[in-house]
Amino acid sequence: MKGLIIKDLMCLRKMRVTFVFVTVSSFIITVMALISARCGNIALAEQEYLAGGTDMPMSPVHMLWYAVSVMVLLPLASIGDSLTLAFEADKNSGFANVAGALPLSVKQRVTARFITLFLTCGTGTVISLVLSLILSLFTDIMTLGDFAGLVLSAAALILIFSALEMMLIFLLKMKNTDYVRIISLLIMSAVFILCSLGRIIGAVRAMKPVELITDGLLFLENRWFILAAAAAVCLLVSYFVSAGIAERKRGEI
Amino acid sequence: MDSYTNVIELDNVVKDYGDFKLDNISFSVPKGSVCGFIGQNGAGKTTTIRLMLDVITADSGEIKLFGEDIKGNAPRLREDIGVVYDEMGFHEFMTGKDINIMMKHIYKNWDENVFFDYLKRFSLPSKKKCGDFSRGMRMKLQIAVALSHNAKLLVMDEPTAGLDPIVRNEILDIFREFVLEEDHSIFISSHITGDLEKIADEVVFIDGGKLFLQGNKDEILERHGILKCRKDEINSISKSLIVGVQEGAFGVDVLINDMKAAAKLYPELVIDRTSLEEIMLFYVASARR
Repeated sequence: MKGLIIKDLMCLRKMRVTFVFVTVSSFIITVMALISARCGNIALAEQEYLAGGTDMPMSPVHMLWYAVSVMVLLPLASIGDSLTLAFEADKNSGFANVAGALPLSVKQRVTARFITLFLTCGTGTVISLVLSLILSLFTDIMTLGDFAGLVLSAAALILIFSALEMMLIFLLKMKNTDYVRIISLLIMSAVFILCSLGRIIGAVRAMKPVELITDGLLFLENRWFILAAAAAVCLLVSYFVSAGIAERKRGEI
Repeated sequence: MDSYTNVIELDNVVKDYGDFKLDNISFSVPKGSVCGFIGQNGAGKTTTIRLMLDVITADSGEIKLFGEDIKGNAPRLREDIGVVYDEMGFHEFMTGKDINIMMKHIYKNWDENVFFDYLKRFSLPSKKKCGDFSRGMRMKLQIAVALSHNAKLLVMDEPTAGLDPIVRNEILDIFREFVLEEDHSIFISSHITGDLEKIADEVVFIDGGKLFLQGNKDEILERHGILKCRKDEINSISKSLIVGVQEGAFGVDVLINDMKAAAKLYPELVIDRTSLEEIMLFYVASARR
């Protein structure tokens, strides 16, 4: 099984460059913005905003908070799609034939893929947490706890997304990974809309959509454990469904 | 596990896909032999191999490898099987070194020295991506992998298809070397009967999902013959001897299934020796009539 995990990680080698580029560039840009908020142009703009000398609808520091939140999540998001890439690589090479001849059960093959997912997502999370620790030294906009909450929420969302992708691939025998991605995204969006329908309607009626984003970010920062619990449930369901179907539809997937 | 006599045993195996059915296939391959699995494209060779390896499950019937039922035992039994497909299956970015790293964490008996020795012997660069390999090199890479974990059985699906005669002979030599070990066996599917005639001890013919001939290759070749006669002489030949008839411009070729009996019964007629290819062609043609 370890061999399959190694093979999957080899498939994801081409993602290394993207991941390093996104991580380094988002880190540098964030550090520069945070320094600017302390003693640069953003700090001056904030002073002007507080003095009432501008008609900006939102404080520059508040806007920076949004931007930093997105930047922190970028490295994780860049490896979020590792699962479908591994499936795609197997499909393109015809690896299913080789895998079928290996001394491994179908369940072990599915387990290997889940472990690969945990390894990639785990690596991304650890790197993002380390970057968060460094970033928290440059600013008081967000505490280390806020950063960590965001990163853990993002990791949980990626795991939920991947759990859905995995189920779709096995359940519907979906070979086109683009469809898998889109449908997973649509399902997650639909669940989000259903769960926060009241808030969305309220924000739209009050013409305050920005508040919705702020609430969303605060939720991600402080309620990451809810998403983590949801991710755990989704992964468990996905694992048993995927392993069961893969066994039943042996040779087809 | 070593007390078995047949390395492969299929008993009334059925697999129905709707548009294609593998119908009650039964055959066995004695331990230490080379078995040629002959049939044209679409005959059911790959499906049979996939069933044997438990990649797909049979609708009914029993499959035994090394004397053990594959149900529930397949992953363990596959430790002792080297598999070669007509297409490589490894990711194109992988090098020989990558494959070694992967396989040594999969097979308990993986021997990396043997693997690299084979790569050297086959002149396969271990640092070159296998996507850049020629078809012959890809096949050799698969064979190197199949032979590097102390496999007792090699299962191959059209391993020589699309290869030039020199590479094909090289590969056949490797197979001959492999079966020098007493408990080593080979099950090789091919529609290139010439290759099988060179190395097979046993042959199994399949067509349209049905098995129509199996046994020792030499016995099959000794038993069958091409009887040459005029059209008007056919009716005098016993129907039980005739497998198939092929009409030519100057007469008729009749494949008979008992050359000795035919020679006694019809001493005036010429009976030539035949090949596996001719036997396959006659059987397939007569089955379609």
